[in-house]
Parts: sequence; structure tokens; C-alpha cells
Amino acid sequence: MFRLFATAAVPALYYLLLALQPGWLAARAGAWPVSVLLALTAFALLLLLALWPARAAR
Amino acid sequence: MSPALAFFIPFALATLALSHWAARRTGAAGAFFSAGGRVGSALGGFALAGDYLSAAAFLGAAGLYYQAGYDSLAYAVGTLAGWPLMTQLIAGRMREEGVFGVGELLAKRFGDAAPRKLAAGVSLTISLFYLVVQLVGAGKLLGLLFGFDYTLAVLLVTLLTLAYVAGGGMLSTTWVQAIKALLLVGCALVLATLTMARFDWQIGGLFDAAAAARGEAVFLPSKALASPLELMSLGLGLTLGLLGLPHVLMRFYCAPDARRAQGAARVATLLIALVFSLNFIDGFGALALLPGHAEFFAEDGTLKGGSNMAALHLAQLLGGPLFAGFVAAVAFATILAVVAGLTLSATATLTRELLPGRGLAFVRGCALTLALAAAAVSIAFQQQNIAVLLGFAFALAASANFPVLLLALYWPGLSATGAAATLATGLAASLMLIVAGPGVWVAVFGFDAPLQPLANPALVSVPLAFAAAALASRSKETP
Repeated sequence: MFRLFATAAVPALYYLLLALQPGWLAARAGAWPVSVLLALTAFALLLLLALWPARAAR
Repeated sequence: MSPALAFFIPFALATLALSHWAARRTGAAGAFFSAGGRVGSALGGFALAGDYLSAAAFLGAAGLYYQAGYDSLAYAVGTLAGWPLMTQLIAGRMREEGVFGVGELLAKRFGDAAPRKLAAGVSLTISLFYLVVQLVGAGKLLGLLFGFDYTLAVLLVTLLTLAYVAGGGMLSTTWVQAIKALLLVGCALVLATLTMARFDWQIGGLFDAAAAARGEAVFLPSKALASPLELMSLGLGLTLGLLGLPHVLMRFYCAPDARRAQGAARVATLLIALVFSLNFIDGFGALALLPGHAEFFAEDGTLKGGSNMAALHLAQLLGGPLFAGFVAAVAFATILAVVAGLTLSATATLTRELLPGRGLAFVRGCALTLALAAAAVSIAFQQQNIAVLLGFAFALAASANFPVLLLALYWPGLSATGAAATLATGLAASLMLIVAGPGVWVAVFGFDAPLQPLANPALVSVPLAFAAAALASRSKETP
């Protein structure tokens, strides 16, 4: 259930942040634009959630 | 001979030989659609990725980076988000149920009643709309890539596709898609490697060059995604749309068991995430590197062949004509594999749901008829803006197919009436909202302002479909 909730929460939070466009979204973290880091973090979390071992299917 | 054709012809010959081999192993209509039920996680995952990654996912995504910068990344997150849900909620359960698509799932629960036919109609509509859009795209893209005449390109794609589908059915289509996925990943990887090499492997150099070309705004959503509601609706539609696409759902039927169906979805997620991650390097690379090279631009300052050619021009710039030819050949293979998957899905819906109980010759005849009909429509509508059909197909998948699929899999309280109401509401709501929205009301009909502001209807139509299911299932006893 946690996995499902997290899977729904990751894109929802991502799009919510894009919609709100806080000032720090346009900044850079070192060489990386924060907005790009945010998207790649969402990628990584979604991938982790997909690869995480699930309840064994029959 | 152009390098593109030199790369493509061996691919076409090898896949046709594969189709011939598969045709000899496909004896009955059941095996024709299931590939014998022996497609393991790795092959199934590559085929799933091949089914899902259309030319839009590679050339189109890079083109969107070139045209609108960050928007392409925002699309990619929504598209990828559907895959963990597919792994957790749909893949294993679909295989456990042993069904090919939504229609068969409803038939298993409610018998051969109205919801089955309605679901089959929705699935067939999604596949055919998607197919026409892909064929129109193929005609235009192959004209740009190979210099083919539009009609010739559409007919070539249709005939090659028919050789895969009508010949070897699911088995040959699976292999074609898996090979294409492998080529696509390799192509994106080489292009990203060449791009990073140009920036001395410093990602900051790539971002600085992109910002120098277009400004820091290139790292933020464009005005097209400025509305918060539109952005949320787009994300919801992209995520849930995947979960209702018939040509993706059919793949789990080929797995030997639920565990391997989930495994295939995991492998596909990994491949798709990899392609999307490489796309952002390729896309920002095109945006940063192409502007200094006049040979890629028309006299009016636009990219030659349009923004969809950005990846191809980047390949030409970084790898020369040979690599550009390879990229073009992979794009052709990509189109073929997706069209094959869609043709197979439409044929399956027609012959398993709407006209069941016939032999393999009838199935092959249906594949031929559907493919030729889609080709005829694609040729007739080549000058029309048919992007709205793709939007409608995705909206239908998210608003009609996904809600009824989820409820049929997980909610014992769903009644036959509830299932029919879910499908009908999702269908009607998405159709009405799209027609009344800016994509049709303003862009097609020419009115000044839309009747409702959302171009993507999922934020409204998906909750409506679930509400219809709850209300209609309460009002009738569950059978």
C-alpha cells in the first residue's frame, strides 16, 4: 500500500511543484538546473518503485 | 544507396525472415495472439518497451526539447509514472485473469453482456485512432528521412507490418518490437555519448550552452503548460492513459505466469526510463549545438524538416552521414514495430471480442482489412491535423478503459451496469471535453475561445467515470 501511495505521490508532487513554480525551481544546484534535477529525481524514484520487489504474484 | 536504406534493408530482411519462421510455428488462432504463452520477462520487457516507444518518444521528444525545452521532460515524467502502476496494479493481475484485454476481463466477470461489446468498441477505437496517427506520421517522417512519396511510405509500412502481423502474429511482432527497442536504446545511448563528448563530459557545459542559446527559461515549463490545472490534467492523462492502452495490455497475455508478466513490466520501465534519461541529453544537445550550423536550417530560420528532425540533424553533426543513416533506419524500425503492435491489437479486439469463433484465415483476413483501411484513411487525411485523434485515443484510454479495468480487477462491488456506465461516461466525457476544449473548438472549428479551458480532459473525465461506476453499481444488485 505504501508503494502504491508513493507511486501516486511522486508524479502528483512533481506536477504540483511545476504548477506552483516556486522561485528556487529556476535556480541552479551547482551545474544542474533545479527543475531538471527535480525531474530526474522523479525518474529515479519511479524506477525504484517499479523495480522494488512486489508481493509475489501467482 | 543512402546510408539510411543500407541500414534499414538488412533490418527489414531479417525481420521478414523472422516472421516466416514465426508463421511456421503459429498453428492456431489462440497461439497466434499469445505467442504460445512463453514470452519471458526479458523478451517481454523489451517487446513492451518496443510497443510503447513510438517515433514520438525519440524523434518527437528530442524535437520538443529543441522547440520548447523543459516541456519535454515534464511529459516524460507523466509518461514514465504509469509504469510503476502498471507493474504493481495491472501486469500480474491481467495475467492471473488470463485475459487479452478489457473486453475479455469484463466477459469473464459478467458474461457476454453489453459491457464486453462496449469495451471492445472503445479498445478498437483507441487502437485504430492510434494506428491512423502513426501511419500519417510514418508517411511524413519517411518522406523526410528517405525522400519517399507519402502514399508509397504509408503503403510500404502497411505491407511490411502485415507481413509481421498476418504472417507470424504475436510471436514475430514480439521479436520485431524487442529488436527495435534494443536498437532504439543503442541509438539514444550513442547519440548521448557523442553529445557529452562534445562538452568534455561536463554536464554543466551542456546546460550553459543550452542557456546561452535560449536563456535560462529553457529549464522551466513553457507558456503552453502555464496553467496549473492543465499541467495536473496532462500528468494524470499521461500516467493513466498508459494503463488503458490495449496494445500494451495485450502483452501480459503472452507471459507464462503473473510473476513474469510483472517482470516484463519492470524490464520495460527500466528501458523506457533509460531512453527518457538519454533523450534529455540528446534534446538539450540539439538545442545547444545546432544553432551554429546553417546547413540544418531553412531560409526562414526554422529547422529543416521541422523540429522532429532535431535528433537526426544532431546525429549528422556529431556522427556524420553514416550515423545519421543509422538513426533514420532505427526511426523507420520504430514506426514499423509500433504499427505492427497496433494492428495486432485492433485485429485481436475485432476477432476475439466482436466476431469471435473463426479460424486463423479469418483472423489474417481481418488484419489485412484493418491495416488497409487504416492506410486508406491515412492517405485521405494526410493534409489534416490529426493530432487530435491521438489526444482522443489517450483520453479514452485514461477515462474509459483504465477506470473499468481497475475496478473490474479490484472492486467486487462493480456490477455489469456499473461497468457499462463507467465506459459510457468516460467515453462521453472525454469526447465532449476535447471537442469543447482549445484543441478542437479553437484550433479546428476556429472559434475565438474554448467552451472549457482544458486541452487534456483527464482531470475531469477520470473522476466522472469512477463516480458513474459507484452510482450505477449501487443502483443495481451485483450479479
